Amino acid sequence: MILNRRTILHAAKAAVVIATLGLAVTLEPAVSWAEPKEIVMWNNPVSESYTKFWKGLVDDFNNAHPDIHVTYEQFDTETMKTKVRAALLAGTEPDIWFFNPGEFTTINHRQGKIRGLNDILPVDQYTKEGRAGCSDGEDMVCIPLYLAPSVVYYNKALFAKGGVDPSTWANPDRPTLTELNAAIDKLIGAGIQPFAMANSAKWPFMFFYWAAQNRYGGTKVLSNAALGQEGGSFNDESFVKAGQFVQELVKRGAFPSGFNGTAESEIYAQFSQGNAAMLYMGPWAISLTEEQAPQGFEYSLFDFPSIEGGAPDAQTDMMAGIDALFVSASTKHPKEVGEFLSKFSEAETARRFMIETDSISTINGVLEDVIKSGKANEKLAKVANFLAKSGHTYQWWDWALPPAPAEEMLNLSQPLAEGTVTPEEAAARIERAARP
Amino acid sequence: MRGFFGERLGRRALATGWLLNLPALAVLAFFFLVPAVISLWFALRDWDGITESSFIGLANFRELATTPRFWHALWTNAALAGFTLITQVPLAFAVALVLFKQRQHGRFLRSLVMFPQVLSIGAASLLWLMVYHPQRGLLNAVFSLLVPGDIRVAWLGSSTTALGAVIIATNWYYFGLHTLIFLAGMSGIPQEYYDVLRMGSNRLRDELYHVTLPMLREQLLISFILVVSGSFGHVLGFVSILTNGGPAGSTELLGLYAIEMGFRAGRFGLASAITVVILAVVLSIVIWPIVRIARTRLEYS
Repeated sequence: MILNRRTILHAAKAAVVIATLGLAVTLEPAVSWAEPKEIVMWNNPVSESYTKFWKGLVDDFNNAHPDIHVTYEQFDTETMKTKVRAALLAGTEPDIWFFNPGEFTTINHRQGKIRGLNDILPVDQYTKEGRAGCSDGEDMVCIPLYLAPSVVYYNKALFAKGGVDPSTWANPDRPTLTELNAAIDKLIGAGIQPFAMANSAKWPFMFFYWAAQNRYGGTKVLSNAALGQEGGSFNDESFVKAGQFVQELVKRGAFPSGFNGTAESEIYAQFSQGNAAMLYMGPWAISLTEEQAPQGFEYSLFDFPSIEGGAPDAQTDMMAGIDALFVSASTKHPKEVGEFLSKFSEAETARRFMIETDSISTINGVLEDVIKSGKANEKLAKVANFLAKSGHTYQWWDWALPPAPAEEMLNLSQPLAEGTVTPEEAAARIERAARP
Repeated sequence: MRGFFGERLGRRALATGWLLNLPALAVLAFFFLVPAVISLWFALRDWDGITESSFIGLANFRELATTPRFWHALWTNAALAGFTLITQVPLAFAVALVLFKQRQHGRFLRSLVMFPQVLSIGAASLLWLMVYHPQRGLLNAVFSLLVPGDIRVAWLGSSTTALGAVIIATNWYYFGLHTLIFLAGMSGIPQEYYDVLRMGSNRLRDELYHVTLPMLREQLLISFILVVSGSFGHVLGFVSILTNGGPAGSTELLGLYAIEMGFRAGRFGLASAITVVILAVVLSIVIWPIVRIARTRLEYS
């Protein structure tokens, strides 16, 4: 090719034409010819019934509103955690997404990335507990999908085989730690795996740590440590004792071998297939067990054990997280998003949600109505009863704590389980991460 | 300025060369240089991804230098790359040699070697999750047949075995790629070179030393670069699904550490510092062989 003025001119003309065509193709048209308003929703496949409910709600809404189109996508918990953070950073978050309220979402709301909902949703329809978990000051910043108190579910047949009878406990609804340890030993003696566990995601094992810390120290010690107020610290004795508690359980053989390398879904499979006698988990375990267990599978539940010598006013506390839906502050269609999400808070929809997905509703009056009508799953009704009688509730730590100590705490899950870090060192590391 | 063959270039030829290279350089700059500079910029700052960032100089790098977790992740990367270089690459070369010699009859072996590459990383990782499962995995089942007792090793669930298990899985996946690279290189070696050599010697060793290996210098370089850069890059997907850096950080690569610091712990400055270190390490390892081989490129005529 000869490089002269003519060829350069031709090349420049060609470049301009190509660039113009490219821009025309990629840029949005200035005028949209009556296309429906697009809303994107990211949800979590909590269980099959949950997914079925939400897909149904989306389809019904789309059919009833030809001028609005909700696109439904779903991602598992771990993928969602990273995806949402990356999207918020890049400004490409969807209109609605599933997440857990906590320090991260509070900061994002205050930075103007998460929308307050008071002006687009009937926030007064939500229960006090639901609003408390989803509020930043006066603003409600998320829709609480359900309250998720964790209890220990147990396989009746395996308990019988192991010679464990909860009715012989001082309180059949809540054993003491001594009673639970005795039950674990009996089950092991009968060749039965006591607890289901799969910890590649790190948080399942830490459920025990969080619950134990609460029993030893109470919610005030936790909040003081998290907020660094009133001299609070993660070096408090209750955190160290929590580490000792979980390591004792591992030494006792309460969990299956190699649990640090197996995925969360294995937990529900171990329990529902009769390979483990107990499962400490939120109420989604009810749906998952009903979906996966064979016909005739019978199970019941009790609260996390009380710990002798623990904090006196913490023995009836419950770990009760909230899963929620958030709305982007940069959504182009806030009114339409509000219209869609308002469907969820309608009493009839909320009742259906509770019955179909075995979830504790956060809409005023629905929980009581459904229980009174006898349509609530009897196990869910029992869990709700425990919750109503609980002293305090506390959120899952991986959401409640600021990101840095939350991640450090999760990273300690597997070393604690393996015994490669001492409880004292674990507590010290969380403290260092919380106050760098 | 001189051209590739040492000839002097005129101004017009130089301008033509630069103009023709411009689109490629623009792409390189956009996808490589600009992100690298942005990473370096953030590496010098403290940023949670939400609020305003603040300049902190080299504090992130100092923190990395004194963090055992960083050194452990670097060591894991080195172990992965090192093991692959001393086992997978020579083995891939040997298999490629066999396939090359058995061109007419090696179709089945070729398909077997290339099979892992047909799978996506996700599918391959799930396959190995099933192989390594402590209770229902294929590997424990095979060992239980060979030795007395019920073998229930937690290959991915124990710090002792997880790294080795991950290395084997990743080597299995990328083995076919390296074999293909060597096979393609061997196919391009003119037969005359072997004919000339056979006039003096019929030994395989002489063929390898005097013809095959010298002619495959660039393929060896490509393999080397893929192994080194891959241990910091595309292996992440595999490891992320298999162990996500666990248990207890025993398989944590620098890339996973960066992802966690950025997207989970909200420390984007530190995460950027880790990526800058990754770039520096990879460049420092691969740049010298590239320059050396480019300078001593052999032309046989």
